[in-house]
Amino acid sequence: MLGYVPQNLLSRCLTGTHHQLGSEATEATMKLGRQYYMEVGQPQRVNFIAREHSYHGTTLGALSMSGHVGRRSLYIPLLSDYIHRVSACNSYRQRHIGESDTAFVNRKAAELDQKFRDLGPNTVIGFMCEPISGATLGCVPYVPGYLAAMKAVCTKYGALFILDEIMCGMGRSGTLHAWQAEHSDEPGHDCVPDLQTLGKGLGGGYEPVAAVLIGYKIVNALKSGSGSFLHGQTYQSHPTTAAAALAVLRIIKKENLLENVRKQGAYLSSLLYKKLDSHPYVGDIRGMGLFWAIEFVKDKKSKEPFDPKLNVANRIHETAVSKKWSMSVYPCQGTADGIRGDHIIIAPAYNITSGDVELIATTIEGVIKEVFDTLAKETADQQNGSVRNGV
Amino acid sequence: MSPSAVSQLSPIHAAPVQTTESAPESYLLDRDLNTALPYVVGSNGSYILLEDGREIFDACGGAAVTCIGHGNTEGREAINKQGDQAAYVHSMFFKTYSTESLAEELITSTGKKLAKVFIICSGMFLKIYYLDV
Repeated sequence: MLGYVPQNLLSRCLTGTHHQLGSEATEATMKLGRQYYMEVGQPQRVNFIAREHSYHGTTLGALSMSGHVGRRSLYIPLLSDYIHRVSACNSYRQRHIGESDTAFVNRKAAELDQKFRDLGPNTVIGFMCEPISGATLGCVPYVPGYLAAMKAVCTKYGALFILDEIMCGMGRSGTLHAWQAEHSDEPGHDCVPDLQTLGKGLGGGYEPVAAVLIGYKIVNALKSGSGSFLHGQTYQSHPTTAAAALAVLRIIKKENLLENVRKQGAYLSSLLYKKLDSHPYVGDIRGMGLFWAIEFVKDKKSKEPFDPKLNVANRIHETAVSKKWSMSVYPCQGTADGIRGDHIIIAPAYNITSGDVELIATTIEGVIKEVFDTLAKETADQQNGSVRNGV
Repeated sequence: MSPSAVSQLSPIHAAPVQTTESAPESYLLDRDLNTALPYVVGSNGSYILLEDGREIFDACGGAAVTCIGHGNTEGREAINKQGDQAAYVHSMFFKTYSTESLAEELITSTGKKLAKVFIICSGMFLKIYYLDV
């Protein structure tokens, strides 16, 4: 049985091009991880640990890795049994009252450690996560210390630490790679991934391109072992595509755009908090750099999401893009539990001005007011109708 | 970038504007089969120009994609320049400087903490080897 699947999720699943190349990066990552352990004589390593509410792509391997309930729902019988889950790192919904960063991170590390032990530590290829959640959870950043703590667990059990930076990487979060804001060569702060996926901002829309960055131990094992990665694609290393990605990367450097991402990101977040934090239906505003999400809830205190049938996130997108406001924002459902919950993502170009930031914040404030005013009116009309009809 | 900047797009950017009274059935499998999408006929910086003349501020870069904005000429010139040399060669037999340079810049950007890059531009291809372990 399908059960109820929000319409906007279904349409994204069925039409198939969403995250297509990022998906292929995930596929290549999974196969590289498996091949590495075959090369070094540990063929018993067959399991991956990924997170709930994650999204690593739309193809069957990548969707197996993904934890988003709605996007998986149709295809569950076709997905791999070798993917296991731990919880996401969602400070808004999971942190206990008064719980410190350290205590929260320790809880996450203990959960991952337990999952390794449940599976048999020497059966695990690696743990994969988005340092800052992408579309499905909506820009939820790692809690300070989280990445290093998770890597330490992987290292302890000889498994790979894998980061999905398809959406949050390539400068989106304020550093070229999201892990770089947390990494230090000091003991206890190592966040360098063994494998890292990139996409989206890598080509900047000029060409479709994704990539996998591969650590030394994997490269060395392949080099001294079979000598090649048992995976090839017709358009792998495509010349004009790479030229476009290289141009984008050089523009980010030449125009000092990472500094602008940090500067305008700080301004954007301050305006969003100022204008929207006290709004009765805004549950959480979170993100990093120029990668921000606003999560909507029916009840601020209990964090109860809206009925998915109200399509709150889509309404916000549709209102935003209407003639009156003329702005495109990214809507998503399933934020709270994979089916219920709504958020929008704001992820403008790295070269926006302070004036652009003000336009975004003012427009979103106006759009949110209009959408919830309309919803309130619809609810009131329905109730009046029910009263009139004697229901 | 002001909205009016989009109105002055060069003819290369902006296709002739055609208005259709009622949208015909699309041959493309759109994301939503029951909703007609507006056609885009131009773009510049953070703005997308629709065929009805409206200028949309792209506050999400599609899905966090268009990081240097729309209509950047350097990006397009780089594609053309490489295309003049070779638009496609098979990666099993040849390589080009653009792919090697991209890999070099990406690895350098990690402080050389990672070693190599696998670049994916879609298209599945089966290469058969047997791995003896």
